[in-house]
Amino acid sequence: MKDITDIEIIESIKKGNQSDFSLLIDRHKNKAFSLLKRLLKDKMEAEEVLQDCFLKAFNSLNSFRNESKFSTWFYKIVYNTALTRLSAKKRKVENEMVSIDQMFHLKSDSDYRMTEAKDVSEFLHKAIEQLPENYISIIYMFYLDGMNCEEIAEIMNTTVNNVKVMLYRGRNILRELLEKNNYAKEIL
Amino acid sequence: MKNLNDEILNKYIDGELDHKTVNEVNELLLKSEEYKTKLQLLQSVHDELKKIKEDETSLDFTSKVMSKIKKKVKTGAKDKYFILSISTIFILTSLAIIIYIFNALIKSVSTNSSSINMWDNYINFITANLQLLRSFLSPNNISIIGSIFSFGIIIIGYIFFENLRTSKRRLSRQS
Repeated sequence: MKDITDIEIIESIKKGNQSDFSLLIDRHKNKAFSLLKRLLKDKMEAEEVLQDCFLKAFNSLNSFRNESKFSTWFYKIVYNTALTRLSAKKRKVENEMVSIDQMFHLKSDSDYRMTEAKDVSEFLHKAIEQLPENYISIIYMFYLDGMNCEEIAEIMNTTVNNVKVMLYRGRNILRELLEKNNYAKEIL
Repeated sequence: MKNLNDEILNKYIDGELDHKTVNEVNELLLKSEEYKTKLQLLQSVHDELKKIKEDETSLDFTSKVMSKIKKKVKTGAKDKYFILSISTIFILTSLAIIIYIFNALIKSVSTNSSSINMWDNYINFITANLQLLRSFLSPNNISIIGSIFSFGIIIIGYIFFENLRTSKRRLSRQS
């Protein structure tokens, strides 16, 4: 089953084998769920939103052209649905950069959480959750899904340069947090 | 190159710098302990991020989505048949009415072929049909038409109520 490509599965679904859609679900559910869980900060809600995303994908499968990967196309649905859900919850969605105020808020918040972290790894994972939504999205798509900046830019409807800037800024924020919370000695 | 900014360090980690710039960065790293520390911390962030593990959905997630899809496909087919049958009835009725009108017209024209004015034929036809309509709307027939009409309203009301219930259910699931 691993040898079958996403495109071949989609062709089969379009021919009427609707049950083959379960193969696509199994392939992409966990990675998309990881991102949604971090963005929505609620496991149940993330699963519910993911169900909606798969239903949306199934309904508009006919509009899928083989111009991009299925994962890129599907992640567009996931990312936009998550943003809609977040804005519905009246959360502020970050657009471009982290403001100074937010950086300050981020640091103070993480200082507080630092005491709960056992090691650097745990500290960083907690720190990621404090980042703005678009930074979390980029980090997860880049590191967990192995997407390149072009694919991420297409999903987030922004420029490749913007994605790179946000990725670098995200890493820098995390590095500064490590320094600020005396993890530098442990690492070096 | 005199200074190493964050962007260059990030590009250095991602391997996005050309050979010449990499050599320059290496030289600066050898000279400055501060840059070296910065790079090591950034590298450890990069390495830790690579270790991010994916979370797992609930075990029955796929089956849940598939059952929703099957349900949707079924109701979609039902709706399709419903619309198809309603439109077939409508088209057939319209066709029958048109055929009846044409038939009556042809008959009236052929019986009054001696008539010079075509308009007289049309006026005669309309008058005859108006009389037919008057007899059709007699008190006895009105009650039959009324009951058919009420039956239609009840069916439309039921469909409307069902739709309202479904959309309410959908909304409650979303909120």
